[in-house]
Amino acid sequence: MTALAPPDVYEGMVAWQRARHWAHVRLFDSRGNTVLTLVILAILGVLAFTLVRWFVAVADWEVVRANRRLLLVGRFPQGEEWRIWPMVLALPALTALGWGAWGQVGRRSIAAMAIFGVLILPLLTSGTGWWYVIVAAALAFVAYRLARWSWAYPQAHRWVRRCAVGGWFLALPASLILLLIGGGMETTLWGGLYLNVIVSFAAAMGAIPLGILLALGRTSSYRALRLACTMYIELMRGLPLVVILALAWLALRSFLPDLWGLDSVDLVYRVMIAFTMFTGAFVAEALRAGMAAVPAGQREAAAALGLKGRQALIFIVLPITVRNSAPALAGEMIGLFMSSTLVSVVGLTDMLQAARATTEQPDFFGRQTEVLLFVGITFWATAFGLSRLSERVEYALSGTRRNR
Amino acid sequence: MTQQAEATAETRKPVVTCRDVNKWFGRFHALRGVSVDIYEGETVVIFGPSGSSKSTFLRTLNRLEPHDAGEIVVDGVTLDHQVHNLHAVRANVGMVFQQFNLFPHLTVRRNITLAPQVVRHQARKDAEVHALHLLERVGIPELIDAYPGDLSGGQQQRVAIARALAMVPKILLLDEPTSALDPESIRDVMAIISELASTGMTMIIVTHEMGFAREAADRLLFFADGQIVEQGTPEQIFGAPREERTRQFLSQIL
Repeated sequence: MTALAPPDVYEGMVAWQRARHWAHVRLFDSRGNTVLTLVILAILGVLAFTLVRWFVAVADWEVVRANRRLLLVGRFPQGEEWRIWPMVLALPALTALGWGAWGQVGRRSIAAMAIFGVLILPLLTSGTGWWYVIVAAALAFVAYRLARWSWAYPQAHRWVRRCAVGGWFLALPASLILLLIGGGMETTLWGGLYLNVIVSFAAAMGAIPLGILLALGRTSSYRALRLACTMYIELMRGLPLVVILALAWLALRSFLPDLWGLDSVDLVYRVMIAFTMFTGAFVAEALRAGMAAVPAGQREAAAALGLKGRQALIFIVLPITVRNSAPALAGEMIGLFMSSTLVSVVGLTDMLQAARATTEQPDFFGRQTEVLLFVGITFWATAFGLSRLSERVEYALSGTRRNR
Repeated sequence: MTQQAEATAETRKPVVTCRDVNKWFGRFHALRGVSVDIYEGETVVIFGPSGSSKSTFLRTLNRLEPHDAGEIVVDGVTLDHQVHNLHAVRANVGMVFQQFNLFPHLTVRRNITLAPQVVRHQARKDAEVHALHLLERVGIPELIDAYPGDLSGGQQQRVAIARALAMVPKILLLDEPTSALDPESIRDVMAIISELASTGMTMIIVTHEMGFAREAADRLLFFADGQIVEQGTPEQIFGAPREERTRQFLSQIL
């Protein structure tokens, strides 16, 4: 049996004939579609012209270049950058290691990174900064090659995956320790994009275990536990995040008078706890939906093999739940990262707040658009990365080797 | 094989004993006083019209469905609400499902080795060697690194059989193992089950494959309305059924 390939409509055509055929079939196949195509092309043309003209003739990115330090790390004291650089070097390497251990960098990803590198990096760095960029890129490349190489050796490959996962778990404690050792840093001086990243990273690391526990509690057969978890989730989902942040900032004293020493806890940690508690409730609901979609047969098969409840949960139910919930979880994580800009309501200077501050500089009056656009692109790139990550997770747990 | 089992059954100890087992789903009386002994090495086929609680009965034997009244003793352990070592009992009682129920996020290899490693604390190497051996036995060693979603139904059911056998169970329960398969896969899977039966594995099979029942079973149980209406050797059931209900059912399906 030989498989017949689908008939090739382009057979025997040269390039321009193919293009004409494609356009004829897809864009101009009827009078209505021709009109629609022309109208949309006109709108797109005007949009593109306006944008390009703005970028080329109007935009002045000097405001970003001059304030890059403020945007990235806020009012972080001079001479203390060594507390940040190790993480800037380690995170790309960890990303590359995980990427190589679970997949392969595709052509489109390389293109996206190249565009991002050309457009954004020159705004972010200069002088010695370039050396760090080069070292980070080199480390990432080595990590990626190592991970790809390990595919041929199952034992090594398992270890690479363990290192990648372990590295991500250690990244947060490591960066906090780096910020605190040797006299430490006032947490109120943490700022800029680094503050957004560290607050949302900490909240994510806390919210996912919290969400798992809450989801399990809400589906538990113990009525009291179920009730408590339901109340917590509904309470947190019902309160605006700004209110929770403000409560964490101001009103903790009135509710919990010195009970757990919470009052003396540093503001940034309180903010992290507030984000964790808030996001945990949403994560719990996303996971509960995914858990409900785990077929009963999977639990039965696990039980029939002699797995105890907890073993079945860890090896069977949770992985399938995470696969089912991956898109919703990615949504929650993106939402968390976006809402981390709300830390300005408690007086911290995150990237967005820093961007607002630049507009008060006399040199850069009227340059808000550039700064805000820059902040937007940075956040968008991170969110895009997260949603690609969730696609990978879904695929890794999908139970198929077929490409999608 | 059939005569041998028949002859020695009386001298053997039963591995499964059911005494007056009853079960209700709400007000529906699903099992109405089922009593039966299953002996070591026996191949028992349960058949009967749909809705006769055959599967429910099978699932009470590893307590996937708890029964409400009566006594079930499996491998020397009485299954009731205060059973402490239910997991140990289940580890010794393999089960194969109609819908396969392979773990979709794990490779075939991991599907088979997971329980031996986690429940029996086997070393990974030993578990994997055993897994490959079992896959060779069911005829698909080349699929060890595939995911269940990439396999056909027949292949999935073979993996499910290998997964159950990996725990070296004393009893194997098969709940309509071929009902979700195409005719060709039915033949392949049934051949594997027959081969297992001939090696002396104790098996209880709910199935509609009467050809298989005639050839490989030591004993048939005819279920209707939550009761064992009639039991006996294939010759007796197919040749000279005593009960009217059995005759009626057999005349419909044969």
